[in-house]
Amino acid sequence: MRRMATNSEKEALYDKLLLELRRGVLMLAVLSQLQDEQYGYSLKQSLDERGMEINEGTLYPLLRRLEGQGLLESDWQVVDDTRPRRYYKMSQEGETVYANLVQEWQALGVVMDQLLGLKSK
Amino acid sequence: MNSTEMIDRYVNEVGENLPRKMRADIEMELRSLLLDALEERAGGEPSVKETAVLLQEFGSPEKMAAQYRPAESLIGPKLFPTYKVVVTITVTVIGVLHLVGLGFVLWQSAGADFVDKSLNFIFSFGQSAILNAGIVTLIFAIIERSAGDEINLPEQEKTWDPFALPPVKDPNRIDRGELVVGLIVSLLVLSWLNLFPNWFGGAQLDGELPWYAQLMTAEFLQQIPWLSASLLVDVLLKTAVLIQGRWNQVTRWLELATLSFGLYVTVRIFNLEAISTVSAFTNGIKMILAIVIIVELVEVVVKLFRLVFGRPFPRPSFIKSRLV
Repeated sequence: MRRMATNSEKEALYDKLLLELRRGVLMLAVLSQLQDEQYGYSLKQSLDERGMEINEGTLYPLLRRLEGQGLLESDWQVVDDTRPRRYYKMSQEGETVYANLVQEWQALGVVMDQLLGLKSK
Repeated sequence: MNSTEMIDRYVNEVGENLPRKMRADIEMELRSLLLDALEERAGGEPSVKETAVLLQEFGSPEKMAAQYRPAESLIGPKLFPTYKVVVTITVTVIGVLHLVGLGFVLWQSAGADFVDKSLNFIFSFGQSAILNAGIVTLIFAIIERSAGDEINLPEQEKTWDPFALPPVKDPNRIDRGELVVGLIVSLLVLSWLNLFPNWFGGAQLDGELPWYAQLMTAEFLQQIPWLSASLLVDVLLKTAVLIQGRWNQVTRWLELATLSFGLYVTVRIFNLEAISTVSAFTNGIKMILAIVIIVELVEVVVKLFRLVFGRPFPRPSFIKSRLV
């Protein structure tokens, strides 16, 4: 007979499922804000202001991964005589992928709305 | 500890858990991100408490490094810190066992065929280390494939304390006292060897029958130019490092070359048939030299490993300036 999950186990499971749900969305959210170049902290603020809060430990490594996949490009710059910062921007390949993903997102949104009963057929 | 030091310690600790090729760049970016966030929250003079709160939000250094590690690695980010510890322990235990074995064999054979036996042990160590590290890697890779998603980060992640971060070690900072003492000793020995070579003996000049006996063999005295050359390069290197004030990549490689040359000279002397005219002295000196050779050999291997696989020396960065 299956053991009943404790409250903390239920919370852990919920957190894990939420994390999985957000994982793909975060990438699209980040790309959406990098049509113009931004450095890490300004990007975080920009996402926070729009209601997409991302933990620093997730956002900054994600930027590196997207760059590694060729979707972003970056360089170190000194702007306004401040300390050097790494600026990220969508690459040409990133823009193509982003445009396709936005279309997929729209189509997926319609299907999901129907599946979840949020919108009538 | 102040705010800057806490950030230095955190960034350094993240770097320690990252592959060498990614380390310098991620450390630089992470420092810049932390300073941006602190500036926004606390203005120009952040307190150490504000810094600690920010670091806790970023997550423990191990977790932060794990996020940066490529997900497609053979050993995933969650398992990598444990994997690193297990491989280090395995290789260290094998190394210690080999050293003990080598010492025992040399003691049994009274130092005969020292070079051959040492090379055999080095080869055997390399073989065992690679084989065992491979087995550990395979086991961790299997765990990664079979239970990767089920693995949770260690419990300490929730309770990590920024105030307990270990200090940043600066391997390139020089210890002036140690260098100066080493320099004086080398110069004294160099002078003794070259200016008073006959002092390698015993004499009694005020007795009824004054006598003088040469303690070292002619064979040993012929090695004085080699010993002098080894000491001279050591003196030159130490002087150059003292003038520069820091170790750098070039002086570290020169240090390795100097050590290797010193090792070669020690082996040359060890291989002499008779070092002293008193055979008991020869045996005693050979035993001491055997220990010196093992210690020097370990030092050469460790320094070579650090130079090849350790933290890279800072390189000049090329940052685009966009002053507006």
